[in-house]
Amino acid sequence: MSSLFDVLPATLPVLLAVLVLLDRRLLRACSLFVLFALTVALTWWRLGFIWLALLETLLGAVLTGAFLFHALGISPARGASPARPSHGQDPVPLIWRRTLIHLIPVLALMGMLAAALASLPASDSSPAVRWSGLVLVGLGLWAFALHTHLLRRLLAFNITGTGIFLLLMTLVGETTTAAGQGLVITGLAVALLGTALGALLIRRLDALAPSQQPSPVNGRQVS
Amino acid sequence: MTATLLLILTLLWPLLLMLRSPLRVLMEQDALWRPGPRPKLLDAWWASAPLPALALALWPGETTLVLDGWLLGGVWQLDEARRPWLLFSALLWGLAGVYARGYLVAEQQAAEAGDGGTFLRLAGLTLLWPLTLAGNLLLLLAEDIPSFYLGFAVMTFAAYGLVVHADNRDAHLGGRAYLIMALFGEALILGGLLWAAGSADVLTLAALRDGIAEAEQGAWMAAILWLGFGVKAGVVGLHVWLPLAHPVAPTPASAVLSGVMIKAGLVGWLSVLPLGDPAAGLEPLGRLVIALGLVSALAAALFGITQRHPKAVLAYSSVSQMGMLTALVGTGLSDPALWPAMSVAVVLFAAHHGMTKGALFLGVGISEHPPRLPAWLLWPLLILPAVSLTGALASGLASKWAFKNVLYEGGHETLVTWLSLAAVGTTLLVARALWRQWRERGHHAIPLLGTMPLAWLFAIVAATSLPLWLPVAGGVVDSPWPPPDELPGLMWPVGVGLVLACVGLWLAAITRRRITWRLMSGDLWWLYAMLARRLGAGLQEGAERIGARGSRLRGRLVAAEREGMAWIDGLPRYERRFRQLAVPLMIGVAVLLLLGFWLG
Amino acid sequence: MIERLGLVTTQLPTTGSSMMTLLVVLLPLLLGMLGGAWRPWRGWPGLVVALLSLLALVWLTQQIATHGTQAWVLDLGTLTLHWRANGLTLLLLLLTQLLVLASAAYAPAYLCDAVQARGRGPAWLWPLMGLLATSLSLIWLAADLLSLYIGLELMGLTAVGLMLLPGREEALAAGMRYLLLALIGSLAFLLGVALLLGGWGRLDLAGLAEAVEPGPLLWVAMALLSAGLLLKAAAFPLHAWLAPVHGSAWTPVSALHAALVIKASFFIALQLWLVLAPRAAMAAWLVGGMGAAAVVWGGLLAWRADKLKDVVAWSTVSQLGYLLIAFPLLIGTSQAVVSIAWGGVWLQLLAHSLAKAAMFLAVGNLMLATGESRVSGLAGASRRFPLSLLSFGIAAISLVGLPPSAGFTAKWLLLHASLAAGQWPWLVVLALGTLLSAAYMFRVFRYSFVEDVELQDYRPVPLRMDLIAMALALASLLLGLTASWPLAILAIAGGVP
Repeated sequence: MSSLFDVLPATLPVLLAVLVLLDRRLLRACSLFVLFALTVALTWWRLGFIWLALLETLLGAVLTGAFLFHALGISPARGASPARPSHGQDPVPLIWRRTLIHLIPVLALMGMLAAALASLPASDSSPAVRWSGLVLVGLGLWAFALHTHLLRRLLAFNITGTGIFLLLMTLVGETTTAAGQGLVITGLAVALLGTALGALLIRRLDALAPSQQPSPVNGRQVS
Repeated sequence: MTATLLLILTLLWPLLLMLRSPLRVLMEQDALWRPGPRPKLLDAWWASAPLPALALALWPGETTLVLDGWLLGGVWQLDEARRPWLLFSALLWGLAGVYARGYLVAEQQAAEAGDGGTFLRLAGLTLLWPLTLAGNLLLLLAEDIPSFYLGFAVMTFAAYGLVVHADNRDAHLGGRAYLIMALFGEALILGGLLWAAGSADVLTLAALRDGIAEAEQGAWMAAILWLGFGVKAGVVGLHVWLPLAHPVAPTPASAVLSGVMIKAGLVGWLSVLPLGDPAAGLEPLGRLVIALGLVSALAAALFGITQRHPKAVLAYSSVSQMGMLTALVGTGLSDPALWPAMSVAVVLFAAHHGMTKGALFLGVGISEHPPRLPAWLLWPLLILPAVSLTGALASGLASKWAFKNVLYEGGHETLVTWLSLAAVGTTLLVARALWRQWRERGHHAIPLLGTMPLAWLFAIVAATSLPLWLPVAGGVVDSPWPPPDELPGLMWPVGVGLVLACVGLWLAAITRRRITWRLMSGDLWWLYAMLARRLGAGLQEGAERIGARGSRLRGRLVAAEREGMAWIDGLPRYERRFRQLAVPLMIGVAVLLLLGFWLG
Repeated sequence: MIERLGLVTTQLPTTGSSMMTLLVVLLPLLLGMLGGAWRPWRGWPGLVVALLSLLALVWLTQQIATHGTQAWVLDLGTLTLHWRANGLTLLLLLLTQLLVLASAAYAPAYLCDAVQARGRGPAWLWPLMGLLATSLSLIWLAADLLSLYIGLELMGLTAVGLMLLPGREEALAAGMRYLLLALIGSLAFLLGVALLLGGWGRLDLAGLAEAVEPGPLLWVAMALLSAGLLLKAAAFPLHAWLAPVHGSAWTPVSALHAALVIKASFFIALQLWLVLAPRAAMAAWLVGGMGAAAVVWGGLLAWRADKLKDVVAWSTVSQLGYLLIAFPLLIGTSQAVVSIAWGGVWLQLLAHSLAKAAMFLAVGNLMLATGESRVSGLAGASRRFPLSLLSFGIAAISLVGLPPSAGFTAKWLLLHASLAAGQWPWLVVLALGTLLSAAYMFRVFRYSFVEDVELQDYRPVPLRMDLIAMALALASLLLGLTASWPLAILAIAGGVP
């Protein structure tokens, strides 16, 4: 029973992250991301980092979510209806070969990390969280390389970042918790600022794009 | 403190003035190509370039400035040995600058009126004149070898612009001869300095002299350096640029070329050769130097009297006088014990020749455009420095007495006799120059109180009274004038010279035949040029043979180049891939680095 | 090696020097805020105030020259931050202040007369520029990984913000790519830091230098740290974001970015290698190989580039390659080699920063004046804008590395070091780089001396803008004549000779 309580907060984010990254409807992906951030906050709480849980809820879930919805053109004033229906679609079809090729560097990275972690003493409290962090890093990077849609890349970046934060906090010992928290808080702030900047940029790009263009502008690719 | 500031200002002021007019032109973007009136280039500011140097030379006390950050470590100093050089150089530069403002007044007016070509040429002169001056001053003040060489090189190459100022065929011939010989000299100097300074591992001139005296190959170093500076000083065989370049430059530039810059070679010798060092063991080189100097002095005199252009005659006279100075420097190598006394005489002689030759060159311009002076006053004034140069009067008498006295005391009577013969030649040369000036005299009177006549008059006064004000070795020479019973011994060459000149004139008058053949100015230059042409033709023939063989190869290379270019132009398409694959590439780099760390 | 970086010191800072350091770090930010509020249309008021921080810096130099390296330990509860200032730090601080000052003096004229920028862009420029200076100062001063991380992130986001200011579509697209890659680069950095923290439980560089032992953990951490930083430093083949970003950015921003932002990532990477893996010769050779490829690739693309700004941006990629050659020369080589290469690397950094900033400003002037952004559009520029072209030429002298410029001295030292180390491949790279840079610089000149074109309308650039570019170019040239001065500063305070 106790093992389930240990494992569930660790596996739930991974499952949600897979859903966020592979959902073909952007609006749903963004909503799932908010949920994902909330489960991560739960994990922080389980690990005993109350401050991080609070910050994750505030910065990761509320503010980042708000900016993601802003990028989609949804604002509380206008209600929940998307400004353009095209936002719901992901114009880039998933091709299996491409998907697999992009998996290679990610696997290499995971191998590297695993080798490094193997030489460390096993985490006494939360081995499951460490592994879920590792998987989140891999998933995020893979999605980042795979997707060309700007919003999806932002999502992938956020998930990678969260994975790294989880990994980091399982690595710090008793004496260095403060340093680890300092790094994570900086990272959270940077992720929020980056997402905000990216969201504003996506809106600007939409606004600048010629309106007569038939294809959905939000699907603009930045390669 | 003040002296140190003056020292810095001495070198900076000409450079600042140099930058002034181009900056003024650049500020109004477009001014160079716009028709219409232009700013005045040769103003009073421009002529003020050597004033800080003059003030420094007159400032009492010695000063040294050490600049660690400059090149390999700069040491600039003013000591008693440098003071006379700085004083007369700055004075002549200043006078020539003032003179130039009058001499170039026609060009100045044309430029101001909007003649683009003249404006550009004049702008070049305003730029290069202070630069040449700065180089000259730096070489006089530098004690560290890099600064000294830098000053020498800057002066040499900037002066090229002064030589070709007239922009005609003669000027370009003179400029070419100047540049080729200067490059030759620079190469020798640079090689010699690097060799000597490198083997002794020193950075200052004083240490360099000791290094050469001690070095095993010292004789060769000294010979190379002597030859290198000999180009500038006009040693026979290397002097060919002098009679070609000096006459074609504008008259004030000729004056500084012949009066001051030619002395840079002499300064170079005094700076790097271990003169008066008995341990150096350079007596054979000294004897060779004396012999070459005397050949220079006599041959130049003989060749010079065949010239028509007064400035060419004066240029040959410079070669001849520098030959005499060369012989005196040679005694410093062959008879080191004599040098302490001789060095004073050399400085006096060099300063006398510099100022007097400057006054004579300025006089050429005066005889072409005489000021409003009666002929009975004008011509004696023109003749006065000439007589002084022969050694019969004023500063010439004093300087000649100075070195003869030393030579007699050292027991070098033969050398004195030869030098007296050279003085006969000098007399003939100046007589010839004055005769040509008389024949080519102008009638266009210019106002007496213009910059040109005033500068000229001041130059005459300064040149003739030189022993009275020039501080040599710590003070003015006590009794520069020879005792009366020595006068006949000093005067006879002048008398012989005058008699010969009169005979020549009389012969020319009675035969009434014009000499139709002439010796070309520049003597050996033409021989060198012919040899170079032969060599060039031979090389070209060889090159053509190789070229014929290489044309096929060239075709192949052209094709390869085209392909290569096409390939390079295709490179940007890979950039897209780099952009798309940035993240995988980053991971790849990380994996590669991990591999590197693992391997060690 | 860590003595050279000033990480080993027992010297406690004086109160005065602490105050001055804070002033140097924070004053630019404060001024930036004020500038954002008032939006100066003239350069001089800001300049006069900004001279304050320069004065503080001079005072600090004096302090450090007499007392040696200063180290600060900031206790924030259970968290400790470590800062230090030695000769190298001072040199980099000085460079930062000077270049930010020059850009700030250039910007008002540029924005007002030239681009006629409207809207919120110009208002944002000032605080962001101030923040950039502050974050750079933080990076130079930081001696622990947390401070470095904060500085790096602050700088990265500020740089992206600055690049986005023109607000044109291509600027936004390039800026978006830059933002994403910069974020990914910092994640890699953070991952490396996490591993180090997990392995040895500390973040201060001096402590880590003693604690770390080679092993898979250190290697993976270093590989990740380096990869992230090299991505941010635009090292080949991770450089692809650089040229498009510069193409549409404002000129003073481009100048700051190429001169300082990229160098900061390089500085952190080199510092981490010297501290954590001072004997990893093989990996250092790999980085050197990347540098060599960058020299050639950047040179070739700069040579064939169509747009003026692209030429300068590609030349940045190429010149950064020289800096990367520092890795194999400083890592795992003998003391004699290190002592030569050390001066060469930092001199190259200084020379390139000054020359590149000057060149961006000069190119900006030329583009404004001709209204053309292509190289071929320069035809006839030699007549119309001699001053701008002269600044460009002087900066080019330093970039190509002709004597007497600082670029020459730096390359000479690097050459000397690679000879002493017996690493002859770098000789070939240096020679090739010089040839290529001469080729692309000459190409610009060839176009600008084309005479037989009718110039259409052109607008003269304000003299101020020309003079600032000229001053920077001259500084990079004259630095070569007085190269002993920065080398002397480098040697003081903790740096062994």
